[in-house]
Amino acid sequence: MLRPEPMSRVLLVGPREELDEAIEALYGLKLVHVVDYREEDETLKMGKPLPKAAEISENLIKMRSISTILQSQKVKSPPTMDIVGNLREKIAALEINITEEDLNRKKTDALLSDLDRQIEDLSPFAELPLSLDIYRGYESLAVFVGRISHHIEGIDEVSPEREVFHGEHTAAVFVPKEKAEAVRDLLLKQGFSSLSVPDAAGDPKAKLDGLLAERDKRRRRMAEIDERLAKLRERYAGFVIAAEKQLGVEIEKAEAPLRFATSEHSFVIDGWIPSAKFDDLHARLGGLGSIFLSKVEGKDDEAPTLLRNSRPVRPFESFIHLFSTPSYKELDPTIVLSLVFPIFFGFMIGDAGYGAVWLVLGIIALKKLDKGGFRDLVFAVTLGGFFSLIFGLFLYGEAFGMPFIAHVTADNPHAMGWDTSMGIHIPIASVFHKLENPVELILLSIIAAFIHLGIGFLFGFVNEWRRNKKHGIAKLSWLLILTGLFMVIMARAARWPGFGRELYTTLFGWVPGGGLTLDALGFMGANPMPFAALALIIGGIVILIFTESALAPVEVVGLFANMMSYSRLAGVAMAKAATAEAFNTIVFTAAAPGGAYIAVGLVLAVVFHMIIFFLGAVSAGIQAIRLNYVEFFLKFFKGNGTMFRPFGTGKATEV
Amino acid sequence: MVADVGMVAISAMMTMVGTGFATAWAEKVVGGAAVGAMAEKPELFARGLTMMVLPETIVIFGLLIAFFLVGKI
Repeated sequence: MLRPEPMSRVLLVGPREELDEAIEALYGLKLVHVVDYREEDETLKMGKPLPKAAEISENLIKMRSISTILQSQKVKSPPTMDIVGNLREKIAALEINITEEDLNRKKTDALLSDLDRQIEDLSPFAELPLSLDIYRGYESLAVFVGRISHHIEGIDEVSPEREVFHGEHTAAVFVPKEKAEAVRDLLLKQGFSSLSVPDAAGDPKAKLDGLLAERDKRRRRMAEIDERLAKLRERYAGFVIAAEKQLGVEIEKAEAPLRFATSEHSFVIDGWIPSAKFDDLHARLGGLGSIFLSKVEGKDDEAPTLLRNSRPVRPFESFIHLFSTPSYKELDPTIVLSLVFPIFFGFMIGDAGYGAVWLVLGIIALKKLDKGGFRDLVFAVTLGGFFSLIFGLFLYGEAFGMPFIAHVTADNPHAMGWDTSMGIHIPIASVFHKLENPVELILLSIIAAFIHLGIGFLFGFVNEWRRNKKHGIAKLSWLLILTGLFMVIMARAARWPGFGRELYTTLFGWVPGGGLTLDALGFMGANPMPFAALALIIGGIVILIFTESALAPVEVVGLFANMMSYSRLAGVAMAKAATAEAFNTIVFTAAAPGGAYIAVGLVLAVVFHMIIFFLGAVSAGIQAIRLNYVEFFLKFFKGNGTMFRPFGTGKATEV
Repeated sequence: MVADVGMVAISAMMTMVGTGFATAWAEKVVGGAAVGAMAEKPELFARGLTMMVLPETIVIFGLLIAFFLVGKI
């Protein structure tokens, strides 16, 4: 649970003739993480792909191009088929069919775009009653044809001899060459953009009709071709997908020797296997002729990491891998993450209504989703929803932004609540109200900080203890400093009666009194900075200087900042509560007149609450995971491990 | 005195504005670079994220000062 799966290094040696069988056996077992052999010396070289690799590659490439042409991924659930018979022949036949259709399609496509262009060039001219040759070939006239949005004005003053033809958006102007410049300026001022006359002759309107008819014909042909392709796709999609998959598997097996070391007559496969499965592997390989399997000494630094967690915790492993794969030797923090993330999420959303909705939606979604990163995220949020429900019921006593029992106080006699505003009586009292007890929420966040960071330092201690006792002691001294800082913050909070004082006396009542009074910072009179806290901090710093480094004490301020950064838990909670309250006020004010307005209120309520629902989850989720990644992990996590990828799953390393 | 309260409030405001702006600017620069690096090499996510949130201490100290100034905590 807290450590990855123990691994043993194994070596598989055998004669070249049995390489094929060895690969088949290993592929089927999916147990061995192969270490690629990259060096070259006189006897052992990188292996060459099996002879059948060339043919398989060729078939695979053909298959992939057929798949693109057919767009076989569009088929929703292709039937799974077993490939029997001569794959090569089948592929060749299919290829001929498909490439012909594809060529037709491409040709028609090109023709269509050409037609489109011609039509676009010609359509402005179709608006004018002139045939195309009239625009050319003049010695004494200048011709301007182009687009203009309105009637051309003032041309008579510039050139009394003129002919102007107007269409809907086009105009043609014929003037003597001498007036050409003046007319051009006039036209430009009026927003005229000129067009070039197409190279044809004849009546543009008739030509345009002809082109349009041709285009329709081509489009119909295109539709026919697409239909034929669709039929082909339906017939062959299953085959194509299955063939691609099988060829992918075959090519991985055929190219496997590239990862092994081979000599003239033998091969060596170097890999890691979970220690528990070694006997399994031995039994299965025993049947194969002269292949020799043995366990060898492996260095911990090179072992791949296979995280080992129980099923409910496993979805959180993807969060760990997203940050960095843990190295083989360190503790696996997945289980802490699996508890802390939902609890933080629940604290920040803290609403029975939203929590219940997330829980229900999540459970429904989980049933429908396949394994993958998204499913893990949904699982995490569902768990978060569960904790929001718990916190919403027992800590904050509210749902959908309104407390169950309205907090009527002197300056807020019309407070909203489920009992006053909606008439639904749910007798759950709230311990804290998010907006009225900000200090208490911050104190709770600091307690969470202490516990979370404490666990982080303990993990760091365990990780470091084996390698370097000094660094282990350093982590313990950090823990001391953490406790000291925590005590200081709590002492400061004990200044106010109520929760602050209660907290301090429960947690630290046993600490002997007396301490440092610092009026400026607020440590006065009855609650000074306790000497015990100072002793812890200074003691911790002293040990730190000797065990870690002389400059390490500078990080104490950083640790304090880390603790304070947990107050974002309270911050996000308060922000959400304020938004929800604002929205609820709007809804109730809108629905106040009664009657039809209640429907308006309902619609508004649904829209608003959906906004808060998603925004809240996004911000709470991000803050919760950020607290884990940045503050928690950085206290002990080294990462940079190799993920365990057994031979036989998915793609091999890509070049 | 009223004027005093006003001055305290304004100084707390200026503290938060200054530190908030500084943090935002710093994180923007580092964040942009981190995303660019991650586009080439996704394993850098951990380090990128870490670097990006390092300037947060600035705004936390600002928050602390603002709290002390306002004197309520």
